[in-house]
Amino acid sequence: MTNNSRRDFLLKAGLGGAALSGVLPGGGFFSAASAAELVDPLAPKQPHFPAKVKTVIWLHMDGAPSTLDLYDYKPELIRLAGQSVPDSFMKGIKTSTQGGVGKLFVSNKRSWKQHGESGAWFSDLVPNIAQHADKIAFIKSSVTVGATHDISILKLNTGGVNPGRPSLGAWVNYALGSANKDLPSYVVLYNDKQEPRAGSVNWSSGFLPATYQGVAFRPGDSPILHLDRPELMSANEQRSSLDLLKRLNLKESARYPQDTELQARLQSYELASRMQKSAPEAVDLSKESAATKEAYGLNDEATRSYGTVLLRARRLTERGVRFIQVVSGPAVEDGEFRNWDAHSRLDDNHGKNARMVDKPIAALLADLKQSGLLDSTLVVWTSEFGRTSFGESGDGRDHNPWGYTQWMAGAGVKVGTTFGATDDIGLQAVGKTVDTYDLHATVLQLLGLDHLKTTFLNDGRSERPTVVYGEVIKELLA
Amino acid sequence: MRKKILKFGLHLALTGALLSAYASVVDADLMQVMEDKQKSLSSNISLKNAKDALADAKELEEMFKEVGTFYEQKGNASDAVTWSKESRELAGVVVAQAIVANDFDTASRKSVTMAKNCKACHQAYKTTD
Repeated sequence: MTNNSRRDFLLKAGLGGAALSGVLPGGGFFSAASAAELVDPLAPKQPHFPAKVKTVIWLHMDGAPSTLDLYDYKPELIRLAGQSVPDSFMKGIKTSTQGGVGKLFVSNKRSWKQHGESGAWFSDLVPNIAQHADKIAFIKSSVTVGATHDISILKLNTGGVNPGRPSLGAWVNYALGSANKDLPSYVVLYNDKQEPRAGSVNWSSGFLPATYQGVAFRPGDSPILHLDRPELMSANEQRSSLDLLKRLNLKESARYPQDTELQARLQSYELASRMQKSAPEAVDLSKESAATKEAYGLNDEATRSYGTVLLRARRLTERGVRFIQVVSGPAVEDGEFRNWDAHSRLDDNHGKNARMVDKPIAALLADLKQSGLLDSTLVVWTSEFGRTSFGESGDGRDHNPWGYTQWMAGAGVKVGTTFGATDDIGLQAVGKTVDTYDLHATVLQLLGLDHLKTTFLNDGRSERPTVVYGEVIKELLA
Repeated sequence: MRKKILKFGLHLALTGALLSAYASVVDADLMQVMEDKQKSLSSNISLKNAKDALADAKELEEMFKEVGTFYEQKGNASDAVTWSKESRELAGVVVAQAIVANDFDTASRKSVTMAKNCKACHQAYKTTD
């Protein structure tokens, strides 16, 4: 059936309006105001209620750090180190640790101090982030499913354990549109030579129209492949080509107004044209002060790559990008220290990875605060799961989806507080837990979006970011 | 005598089948059906489709009843019984009443509570990921 005959059928059957419904946040039928959205799917849209946050910087620590070695101080774990895990702590969890569940592990290099007025505990691995204790709200009862990294990373970003769902950034892009027509509204940054290992499904638009997917900015001066105009083509020639393409696409679009793929294609050519200038400028750090570059660690080999990425994130925030998804890259190029996944040699692994991120993250918080941007920006420090209290391979920790720490800083957050806790040895969350869906619901709330009403009609079913779950953690909100 | 043996054997077979029916009622297939039904309920509430949402809620009520019965008979699973009972009431009473009253906001929130009960039970009793 062609688009034309399908359209005719729907109109004659009186279902024309109904067939086009569900594209707006909250669902419902198209109105006259919706026609403008067909022309520009990234036109700014109003949230459900006033937002506290304009930009989210999502800091994904790839590989899953041991928050027991960063933020979750457990004196009982230290006391019991070297002993078998008491049975009472293992109730309700199923393990599959290679080599079996090891003895409780504590590094003899670890030291802990309280910081700020909040008295939050930080380990020696994050001395710079510790200086910002009173900017942070900890979530210490985080839980998820912990099969493998790829599955849990997918759940962290999309709420689903199978590919096909939109990422949180795509939902935000869909629900709020773009605040800067010259840049993508949803950008992915990483400090690695290749894209993050779990792949582009983690910034995919899923069943949402393609225009809402994230755009990965590569490290280096040219963030987008093939963005630059070919040398043999003049600017006028390029503009003429784009204008012809636009006229042809508009003509086709008039025949098939419900074809969102065509709309996305139309928008992407125009955005790409504008991005030829705006994207390189956004990531150009040459005009940043020496002091700023030093603060972000650009003068140190250990921190340069991640610091560069976070400085770019700040610049994108200034330019109105709504969702900036930053994936931590390798602290060491090859081998087992490529990310935080310390099944063994945790001290070496976390020493290098923490050094890579600590100073840049602290600089980002300070920079956002100093510029006033922290009042409208939400920084989320997150990972796919945590790590176990019991050891693995003698000096590592296994994956822990049952209780770990994440944190948020910035606008609308009840800073200097901690929500939730793990048990005395830091293995399982106790009390009210915060699943991925709850984190997503809370982030959306801060953006002015009710997660229950941020919906899209997909094959007749109304979908939302939080699947069938999700609860805003009100205790985290200022 | 032969008739008595046959009769006894038939009785055993039927009892076994009945017990087997309860023992096998909570399996991966039922859980998948329940999960799909929850998604359908969530969608119908979001679309304010009261008729289909109510039907979904009533079906879920029956399925939670089966789950509760299974765990009661299994024994040593009081938390699973409690979750099933709570979810049954959420589906059959709380959510259903909210839908009838056209209070889709409440229906939506309470269906989330129901889904969280499922998750909690899975955490304790699901044998495979």
